[in-house]
Amino acid sequence: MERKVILSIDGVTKVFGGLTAVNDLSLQIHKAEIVALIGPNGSGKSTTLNIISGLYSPEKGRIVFEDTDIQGLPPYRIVDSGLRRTFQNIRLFKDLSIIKNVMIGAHPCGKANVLNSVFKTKRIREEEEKIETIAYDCLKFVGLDVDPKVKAGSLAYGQCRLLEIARALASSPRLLMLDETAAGLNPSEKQNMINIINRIRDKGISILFVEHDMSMVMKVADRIAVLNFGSKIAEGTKKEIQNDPLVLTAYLGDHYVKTE
Amino acid sequence: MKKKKTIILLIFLAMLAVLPKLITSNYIMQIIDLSLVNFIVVMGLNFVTGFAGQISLASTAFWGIGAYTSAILTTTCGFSFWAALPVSGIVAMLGGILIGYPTLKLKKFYLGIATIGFGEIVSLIFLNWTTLTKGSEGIPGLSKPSIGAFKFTSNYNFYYVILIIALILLIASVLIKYSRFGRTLLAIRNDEIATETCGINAHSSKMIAFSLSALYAGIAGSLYAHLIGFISPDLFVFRQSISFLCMFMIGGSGYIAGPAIGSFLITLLPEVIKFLQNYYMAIFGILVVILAIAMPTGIVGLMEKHLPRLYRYIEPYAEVPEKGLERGNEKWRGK
Repeated sequence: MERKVILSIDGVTKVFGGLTAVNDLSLQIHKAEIVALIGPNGSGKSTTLNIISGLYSPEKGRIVFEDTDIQGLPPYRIVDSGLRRTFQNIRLFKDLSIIKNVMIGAHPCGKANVLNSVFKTKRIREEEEKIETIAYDCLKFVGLDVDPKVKAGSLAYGQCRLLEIARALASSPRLLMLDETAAGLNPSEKQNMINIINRIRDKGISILFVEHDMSMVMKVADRIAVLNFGSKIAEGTKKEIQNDPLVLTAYLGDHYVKTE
Repeated sequence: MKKKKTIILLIFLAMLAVLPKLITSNYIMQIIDLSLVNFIVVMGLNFVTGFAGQISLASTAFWGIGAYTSAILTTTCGFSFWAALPVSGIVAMLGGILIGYPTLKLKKFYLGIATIGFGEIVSLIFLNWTTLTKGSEGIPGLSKPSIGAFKFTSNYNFYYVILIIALILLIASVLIKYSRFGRTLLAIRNDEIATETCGINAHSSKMIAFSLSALYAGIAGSLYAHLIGFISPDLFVFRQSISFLCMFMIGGSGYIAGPAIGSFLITLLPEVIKFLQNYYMAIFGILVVILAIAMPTGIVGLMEKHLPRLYRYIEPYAEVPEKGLERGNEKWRGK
């Protein structure tokens, strides 16, 4: 049975100066699917995520998320449509408490404007309580069990990663993009991250993740897409990718690949 | 704890109420009135620079727009002070929206430079649009406000007018900081891109913060004009924006009490060290530099770090962690 396509990227090209960072990339992600985007350094993985989340606008191509064309929308509108991301270099609100960080992630769920949020009407107070509950649930979901009133800036590295995921989950997205979310984690934290990613998928959320750690990719990904110099050189299941000569060349150089 | 806070607040308000009775010199009273006016401007600056983290050097321009609007309305259009006050705030706010919309797309220092440019333009307009502003002659003889037969003519009476307006604006600023909108602004200060990817329109939030700061400055401008009774273009120059920024940084950026402490300290400090005669401006400069080096986060920032108990009184809604980071760490590792 074919699953519903949730995100469809069609012929996306992004050029920086004379460098083609992403070249005619097409990719589809289905509902509740985990897709890994891999490739050597500088192959355009993070650029791809930045294009999808609206931080860069591509020169060519179309991005369709759940039947709406999101290409060219500002980042905050893309989130509204149910797409969230985390960053390779963690971007938290360091001066704010942990719970406030996650609550900001849930802001799009509420309908407060400046005036009624300042004067705290009854509806807003109820909404705030709802947002706070959502935030606590998200913290629980990722297993970040520390005092929620501590400032996010004082968290350890691995905890920052979890907090960023909690913040991204707070607006209950349908697609979550993780940018090297396991980088710098120790083995037990990595295993924890794998569990979290699987549990997110079990909630019916699709995941597109960029990762360098192959063991992790092989453990969680349903499907893998490989980029090299901005172009997709392979796409398929773990088995297919592991035996793809183009992929092996890109990673190891043709020196090591049997020509047979 | 809550009861204690209320009592302290009431004592503080009572102290503010009786303050004019303790001051014997009319001149010092005027300085105190001026520091309240400065307090309002710096509170406004706190929205855009303190909460939202955007460098703005246009506060003097809005302060001037407020002062001139009020002066022109009361002298040539026959407005009363009470009518001119909100109008000058709103005119300054409109100016804020006009200039904020294009410039707030700029980041950091570029925004600072654009706002300096705006300030220069405004001060040139004050100087050269002589039919409206009377140019370098300035506008003298601005009336004092009155309620019925009672006129707030002296610096002692006027103090209460400024105080009440400042307190109302202070309450508004507390409400704003601890609302969802305030939280959004703090998020923008921390990381604008992350805020955008949380589904928040950062540009429009910055716009609102900027126009709020213009509103505060405009109201303060109107109060200033009627307190002194005379305004001229040489007041509204770039140097004044640096003064406001100085008060703001020394008080503590992003804190509710920061603007109050900073504006009073910097406005009153020259009076305290005036006995140094010719050297006082030099000493004043050195003291400000020392304050800035010793307390990069401002006086309130230093308090938060070293005097957390006192800090909790002046920032009553600040979140205080009850437990350390260690709670239940092993629990999620074991999962």
